Amino acid sequence: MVKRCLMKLSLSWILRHKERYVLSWISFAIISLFLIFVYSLAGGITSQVEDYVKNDHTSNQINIRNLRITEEGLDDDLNTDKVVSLAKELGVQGVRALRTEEAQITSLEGKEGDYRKVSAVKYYAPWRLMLANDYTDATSSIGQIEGLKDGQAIVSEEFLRQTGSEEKDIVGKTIRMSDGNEYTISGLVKDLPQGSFLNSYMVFLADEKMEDTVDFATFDFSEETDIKSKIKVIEDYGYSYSTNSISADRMNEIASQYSLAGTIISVVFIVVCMVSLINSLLVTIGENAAFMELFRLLGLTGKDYMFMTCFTAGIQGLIGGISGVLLAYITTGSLYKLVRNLNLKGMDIIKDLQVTPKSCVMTLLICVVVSVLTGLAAFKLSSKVKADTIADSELI
Amino acid sequence: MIKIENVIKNYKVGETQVHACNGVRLEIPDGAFVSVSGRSGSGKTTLLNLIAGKEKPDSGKVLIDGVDIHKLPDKQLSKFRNENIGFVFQSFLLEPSMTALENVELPLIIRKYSKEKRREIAKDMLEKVGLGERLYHKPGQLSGGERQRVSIARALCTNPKILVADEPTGNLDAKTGEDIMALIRSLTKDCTFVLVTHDEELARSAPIRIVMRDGKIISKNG
Repeated sequence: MVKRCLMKLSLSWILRHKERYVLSWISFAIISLFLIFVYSLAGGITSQVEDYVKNDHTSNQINIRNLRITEEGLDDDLNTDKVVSLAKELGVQGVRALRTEEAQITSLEGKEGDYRKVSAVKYYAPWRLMLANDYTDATSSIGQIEGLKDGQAIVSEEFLRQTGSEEKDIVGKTIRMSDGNEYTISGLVKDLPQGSFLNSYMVFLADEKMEDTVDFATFDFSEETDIKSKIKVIEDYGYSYSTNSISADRMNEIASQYSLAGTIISVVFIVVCMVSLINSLLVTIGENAAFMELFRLLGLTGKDYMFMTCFTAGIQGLIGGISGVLLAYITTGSLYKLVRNLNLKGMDIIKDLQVTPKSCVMTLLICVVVSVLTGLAAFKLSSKVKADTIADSELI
Repeated sequence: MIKIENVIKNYKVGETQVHACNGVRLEIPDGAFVSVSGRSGSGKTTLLNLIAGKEKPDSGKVLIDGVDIHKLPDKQLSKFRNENIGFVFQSFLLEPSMTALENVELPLIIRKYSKEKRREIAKDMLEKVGLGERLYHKPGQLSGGERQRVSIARALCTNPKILVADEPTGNLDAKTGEDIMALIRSLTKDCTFVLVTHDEELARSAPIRIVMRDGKIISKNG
């Protein structure tokens, strides 16, 4: 009952002195707008990261890269035993390869003689093939591979010969790829250890665009694991790596950095809001000190007085916050234009900027909490205001 | 009974120490009408504030019915004031956004009376002070005398044991002031009435008259 009466009085005073609170409302509206913007921006980036991880890649996948190809040839040997050992240490059952769509085999034809008798072409999964390219002059350093001198040559695994072909010798046969290119099988590579496969990226196409360093194995952890500890093992083995998890982490880090920067700026804005509000509150408290003092004489307690001050302040924060939310809905389009070109590694990190109900609720909550705390500070500061001001009171 | 025991209250104004109450001793029996007069700065309002529990003495005690009010915790002191003391000021201190009835209801709201009960009491009090026809008028629509009547109704609606009034006729013309004083007297026959005024004539109308100077009681009649 008392609280309701105090709230009614507070609202009455706010309405009476609304011009005094306009600055506070504007301050809170600006901070609300900014907070919503920051939340939405961070949310947009996070959402992009999630999409990136979910749709394009697997976050718990590590690509081991150590096969550096230079003009002189390969820098490092492909030691499959080492890879399998590494896989075991990482707890991976086998070195799993990724399928690539770039090198689907459409037919197997012989340039010399009829090789269409070769059946089960479908078994010629691309990851079973190793194609030569312009840079692989020194491929002889990979002991098992031979004959990769020709840019249009390929090397198949022994496995292919045993299971995929009726031909005793497929060396010299031509494979036509879905990209229209044809490659001659010019050699065989011994099968990898059981449960391990060469990565699809080991399908070396004669392509000048090939990166200098390529992934030769991919460990795909079926469940969320501590990628960082896995990476440590890989590093101990002397391999370099790339992982989408790291990319996702990096993007999350950027989102966090945006949030942090936003928070720091928000804190500055909040201080400005508090100063503005505390000033308005103190003036109002001063003007109404006589009435408050009278109210205390009539039986109001200090806590009631504090409640009234905090309620008055809270209403300011709420009014400013709601204004900011409305403003955010109106200005989202313009704000989006400002940030839509933000990108990370060439990928747009802001596809859309949406004002979410969550960001609005959070912002309103922050505004109300900040304003109530300001009210509390104003109450403490005003404790020295006595009824000496009764004579100056505007009460009648 | 109000008993003031060797109360000292000093203020610091800049570098100067002001002795607002300098060893005041006073006993006011129940039901008495006491006027406190003196020049500006003599300490009369401070004395009133000490009796009302608005200010704490630097030393000494203020006992009301044996209770040292300045030792009461905030909540209890507020309750004590609500139940025992009514206040009337020179400036009427009415909330302009509220009607006369709502203004009178304020102490009853604090006392947590039901809406019906407090409305009934407030109406009754306003009728007693002659404002039965102006219950729903806001202070801005009332004359000075009527506003003071509202504030008197507000002070007395809780049926206090003590009524303290600080220059209650200070903002009123002589005729209205007389009417207001007559009204207060007629309504406070059973309660202790402490009147602070620098109107000599008004002060003389009290059976017990206290004159203060430099924070001390220099004379007491009755």
